[in-house]
Amino acid sequence: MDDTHLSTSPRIFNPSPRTIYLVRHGETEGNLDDKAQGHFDASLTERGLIQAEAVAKRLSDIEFDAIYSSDLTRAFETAKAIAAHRTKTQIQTRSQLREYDFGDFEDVPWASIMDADPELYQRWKNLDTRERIEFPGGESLAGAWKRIGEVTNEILANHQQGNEKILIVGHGGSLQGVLSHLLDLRIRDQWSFLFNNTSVTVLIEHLYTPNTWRTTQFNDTSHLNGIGFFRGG
Amino acid sequence: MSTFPGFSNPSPRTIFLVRHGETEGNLDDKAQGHFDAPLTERGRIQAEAVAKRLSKTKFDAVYSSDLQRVVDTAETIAELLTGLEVQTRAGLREVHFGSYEDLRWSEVREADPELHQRWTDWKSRINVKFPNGESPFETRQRVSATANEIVQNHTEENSTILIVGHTGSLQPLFAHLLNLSSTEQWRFHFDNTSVTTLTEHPFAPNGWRADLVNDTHHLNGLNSHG
Repeated sequence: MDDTHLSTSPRIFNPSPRTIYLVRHGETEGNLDDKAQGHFDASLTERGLIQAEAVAKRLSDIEFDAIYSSDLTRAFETAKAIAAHRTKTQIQTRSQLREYDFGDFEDVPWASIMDADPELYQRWKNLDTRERIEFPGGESLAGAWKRIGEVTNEILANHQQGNEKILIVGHGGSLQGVLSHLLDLRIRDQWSFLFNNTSVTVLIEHLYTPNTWRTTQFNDTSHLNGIGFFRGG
Repeated sequence: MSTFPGFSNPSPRTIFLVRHGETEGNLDDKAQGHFDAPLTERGRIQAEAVAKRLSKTKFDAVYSSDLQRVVDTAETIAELLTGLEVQTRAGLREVHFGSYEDLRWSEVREADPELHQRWTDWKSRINVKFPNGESPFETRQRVSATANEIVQNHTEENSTILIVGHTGSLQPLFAHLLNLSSTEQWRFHFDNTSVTTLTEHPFAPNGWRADLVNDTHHLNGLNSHG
């Protein structure tokens, strides 16, 4: 059953699989206060910086061929902590890796949104209507899904030599999109996967099926053990 | 992104999935389904490591495939959990490889190159029927029925359930709980004694949300193999 052992197969499409690492940014005040934080540009908290250092140390042995990051401060600061362990790899920012644009609800506590716009809340609750939500003054979930898919394809197209190790630093929502695009999942399946602050997710190309990725690690935060309380979401 | 508060489940159920420890067949790259191999010495050490890791978790039940490598792993974990007996389910077994049981995959390829080719390509794997055995599609049906039975046995809030199985049963079990299609179930890799957790969440499309997949950090420091 273990595909990594099928080394004698005559049908290896791809003898030099690429590896993608997904890392979510560290903690922000908005994460703590349970606010809608999309394009609102918050910094890491003190704990968030410590988390970023911890994940940077954990990944310090890995030679990344490229580091991509959302251009929002909380993701870029996390990417910087990881890049600081390397001399030659520059961070490439991509605005398409941003979190959803919550528009008028940016930096507003979720509890208040529920009161201010109960209809939006109802649409969020129902899976069929959730996919079609458009945040007032912000973007639609379908639009976000599209831009995240496009940047995922761009990154894959940029690295086709084989054996590359690529790091993508993003947000809870944008990484759900990247993961789902890599695994050919439906838009709704992204909500089956939760990314905690500075969690590490690893995907490797399958040797025998062209253009196919598999997950060898998802949402691992063992580098935070001992650091104390942290919260996800 | 965060979510609307008041909509998170205050007392969700949690399912832990653990794959069995290493066997000789894993090392020899064999088709090992219903063939009943024991753990290697390293497999027992891996089982003890995951048992130690899970010893502080308050489980309400431990379910296991009835094959020896899984029962041994489950018993090692249950020994550190007071008062819990391992409940075996044949429905949690690995894919039945039929006539090809205990053959090396290279031997399967020589014996049946056409089958081997369809097996290695994930796009066709689900319907590969092993002679005198089953197809992964059939495996998914029995695993899903067993998963439904287990989930229905534990309807109480905060229930925490451990299921110990094989790659070939954990992949469909995971995909079933998340309502992923049978062709997507191969996308998730399970190493020996890896820990995977799913928690009930009302925002999750199928009611369960993956929190962790294939975590083996309890094996750090042990000699790893291949």
